[in-house]
Amino acid sequence: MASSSGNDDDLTIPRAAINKMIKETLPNVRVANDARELVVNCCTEFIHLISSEANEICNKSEKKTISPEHVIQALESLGFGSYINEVKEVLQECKTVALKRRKANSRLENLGIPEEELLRQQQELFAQVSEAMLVLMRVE
Amino acid sequence: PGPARLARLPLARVKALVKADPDVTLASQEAVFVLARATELFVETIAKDAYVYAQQGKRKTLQRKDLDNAIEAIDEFAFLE
Repeated sequence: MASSSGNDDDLTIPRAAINKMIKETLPNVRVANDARELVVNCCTEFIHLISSEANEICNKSEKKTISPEHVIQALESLGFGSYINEVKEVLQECKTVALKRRKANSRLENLGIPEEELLRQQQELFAQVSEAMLVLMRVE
Repeated sequence: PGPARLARLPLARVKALVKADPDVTLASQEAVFVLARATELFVETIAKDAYVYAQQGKRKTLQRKDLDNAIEAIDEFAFLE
């Protein structure tokens, strides 16, 4: 179901994702279609609610970008504090992945320069050895 | 954590929903991630809460009115009324 109108108000979470979540939460339960539809719309409202509040919290801070901490504070102030522990786990994973990526990138960068330098030094050494051998051969 | 990963909401869509608010300027990727996870928890919670009403009505099918009841009964869901 592509939204071609470009109207932001038609944006929702895809039905399939909602269906999957409902199925995982209530495995052996049949769910009426209009109930599913309502859940989809509730999700949209929830996202607007939390991001609005997070935005206000962000405006009061000196930051220009809504941070995960702003979202967490919004959850707390709107009565969804019980979500915070799980949400923080996800945030920790985020940071761990980001950290691993930064380490991997910096390791490559660190290898690059010394390796070039090592190659250069190796070439020099070979040149010196060749020269030394020539001298020795002349002597013999 | 395993099953929860599979049910993960499409981040691009969550981000689009956040940006649809004209007052919102920028949200970090991590903020969107956190919000997506919170939304998953919201779905789990409201589904379970609504199901209680289906059980009270001795039904195995979750109906819209069960959600309406949950929304009315639970303070945090007042924004949905």
